[in-house]
Amino acid sequence: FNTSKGDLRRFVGCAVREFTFLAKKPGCKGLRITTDACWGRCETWEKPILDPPYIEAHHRVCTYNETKQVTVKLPSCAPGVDPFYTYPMAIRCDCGACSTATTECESV
Amino acid sequence: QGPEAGVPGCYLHPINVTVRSDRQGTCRGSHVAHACVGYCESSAFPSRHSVLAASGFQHNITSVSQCCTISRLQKVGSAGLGRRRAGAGAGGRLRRCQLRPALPLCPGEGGTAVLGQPAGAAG
Repeated sequence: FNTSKGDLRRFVGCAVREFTFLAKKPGCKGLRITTDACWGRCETWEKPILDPPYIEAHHRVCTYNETKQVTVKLPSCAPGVDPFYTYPMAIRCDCGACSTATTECESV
Repeated sequence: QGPEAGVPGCYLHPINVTVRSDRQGTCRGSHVAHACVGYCESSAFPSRHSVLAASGFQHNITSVSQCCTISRLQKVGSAGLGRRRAGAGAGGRLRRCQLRPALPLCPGEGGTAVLGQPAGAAG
């Protein structure tokens, strides 16, 4: 996935993209991790309808389609604290509805 | 799909809406309204530990999205709808049908109908 600025401005679709985050939990120090996550632009529309709720919405977001669970060991954990931290790594990303069963769905 | 298809952003797109005077559809007509059509800029990544804990360790993914939504609606009048049944309405005295469907306002190529930006405009 080419991440040059010009390409990102015009890109339409959903792709695996590198993502860096700080893995941490209470009782351990944080560990900076670079992994594969998802980013993109997916089809979205809203149209007026005559009956409640008066707006019909169709929103698709770029999210994980296939993942691999990765486990790392966090540094300097307090005694009795499980030092292992598991996170999902994206193998494939696709446009789809945001599933509230597995996903924290936030809109801005 | 309009001419904007394939271009990131959030646009007005004309659609035909069948409007009616009442729930029974005593009078009906067609009106051109606008939908907001575009692309939802979004990302998904591993959830923070606090999010995981708050969800009972169910939400291991966080999705943040900025979708194309209707930011403002305008009520418009639509007069002179065709009558579906002769004599329908108040004792058959119906002479003209009128109703106010809700139409959205989001950006377009000028004109008085364009009053604001759509929510979540991207690109």
